Amino acid sequence: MTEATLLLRQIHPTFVQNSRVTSQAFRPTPKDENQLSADNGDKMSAGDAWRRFSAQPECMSAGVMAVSQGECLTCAVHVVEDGVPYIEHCYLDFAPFNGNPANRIGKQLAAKAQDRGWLFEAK
Amino acid sequence: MPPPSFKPELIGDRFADHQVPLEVLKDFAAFEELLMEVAKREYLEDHPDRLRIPRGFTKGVELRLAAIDDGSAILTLVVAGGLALMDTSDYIARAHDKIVDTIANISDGRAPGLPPELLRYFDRFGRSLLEGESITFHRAQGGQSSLTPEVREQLLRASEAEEWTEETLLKGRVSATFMANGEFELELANGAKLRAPLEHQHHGTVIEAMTEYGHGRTLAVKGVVRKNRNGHLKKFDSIEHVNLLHPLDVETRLEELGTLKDRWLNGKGIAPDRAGLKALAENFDKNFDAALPLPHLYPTTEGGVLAEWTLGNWSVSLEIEIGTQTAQYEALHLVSDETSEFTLNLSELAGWTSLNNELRQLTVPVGPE
Repeated sequence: MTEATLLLRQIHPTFVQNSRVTSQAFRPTPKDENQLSADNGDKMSAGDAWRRFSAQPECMSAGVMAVSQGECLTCAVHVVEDGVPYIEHCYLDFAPFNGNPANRIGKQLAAKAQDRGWLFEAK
Repeated sequence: MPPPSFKPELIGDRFADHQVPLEVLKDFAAFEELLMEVAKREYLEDHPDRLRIPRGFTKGVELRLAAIDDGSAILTLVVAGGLALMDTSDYIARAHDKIVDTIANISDGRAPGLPPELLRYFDRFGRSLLEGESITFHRAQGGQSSLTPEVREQLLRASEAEEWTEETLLKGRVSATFMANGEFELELANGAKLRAPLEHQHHGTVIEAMTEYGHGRTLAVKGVVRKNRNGHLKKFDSIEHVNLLHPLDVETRLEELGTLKDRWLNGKGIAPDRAGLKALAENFDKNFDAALPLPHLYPTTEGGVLAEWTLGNWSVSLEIEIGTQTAQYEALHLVSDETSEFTLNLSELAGWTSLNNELRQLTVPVGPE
């Protein structure tokens, strides 16, 4: 993984309104144990990542957006390539942050992802 | 015998201060028709030897609104009609009592009294009533009988009608126009499609809505819609007005969020409380400065709502706890990392004033130095 590696995030349909994505899509929910899941864009395409995610029960995605590893590091967020439950899986480690700092990082990352635009959009 | 007069009482918030919306008075035109029809039947019942009612039996006889008295709003309806009234007034009084008894019977789970074909007048009489409203009549033998939206539906079901109409406001996207038929098609959020008459005065708005179909632009349509006994909406009979909503219309978005179920976020996430969302929408409409940009609104996994604004380099969020209407405001400057945070109480005007003031500061354009 390099600083240019894109970390692919699935965007839930309700997290999009009028083409704008919420910052919540780029920070963990309280049940995520400070780990924000992503797929390594060097190892799989956005379309393949979407297809695998959407095939799971109860999982819905309007498409795929991404931030780079370098952008995460700018926000002091480290990316961990855990390879679990599949080889391309990694996570953004929010453990050092709680509450408002995590919200602010979510806003920074969401703004960068929004500038980059959709890498894959569900029809 | 003096001409009959009736004093139905309208109960509900819209009738406070002894005022009555004009659209509700339309219902009483249908009541008048029902009254005359029942009066004719009463006459024939008294004269079984006659095949038809006398010529001119109700000619010139009409129901007039004479006053709106104290009460939620008490109407004084008088029957006027000159000479013809001498023959009909007794039958009209009896007809009134029969209609009132029919409403009471249905409310009490008994057989209505009026035959099914006459019950169909309730398609128009009572149609303008909203949830929680009623038209209450005093019964000749004492007591009251109230026509509510629920009682009206029971009467219509007893009428054996296959379908009836409702006054309603529906929101959806305009998916097609049919110029040859003078109609357009409204696609509701659940995918149902309803045809509606395309009136000349609504033409431009409807076409604009259709042009923006792909962007999800929503049209609010108020009118009379026809539905069947199963509650399925069939089509609009008439349109009162149409309103092309802002793409970020708050009430519409909160209604969408109100359709979420628990586990909405890939198996996680609590559904927001609908009553709380409705209260939030009303508060927003009442207290949010209309000159400020509308927020994007998203659900949170804890059952709340996150409002977000992108104002230049400022990323602003307001995380709202629906039950308490408390909110955490946070503004972050994406370049300088400057932040502003505080808690607001959106159940109080002061909370909205603070929010409006903060957003106003971030939206004021910076002039040349």
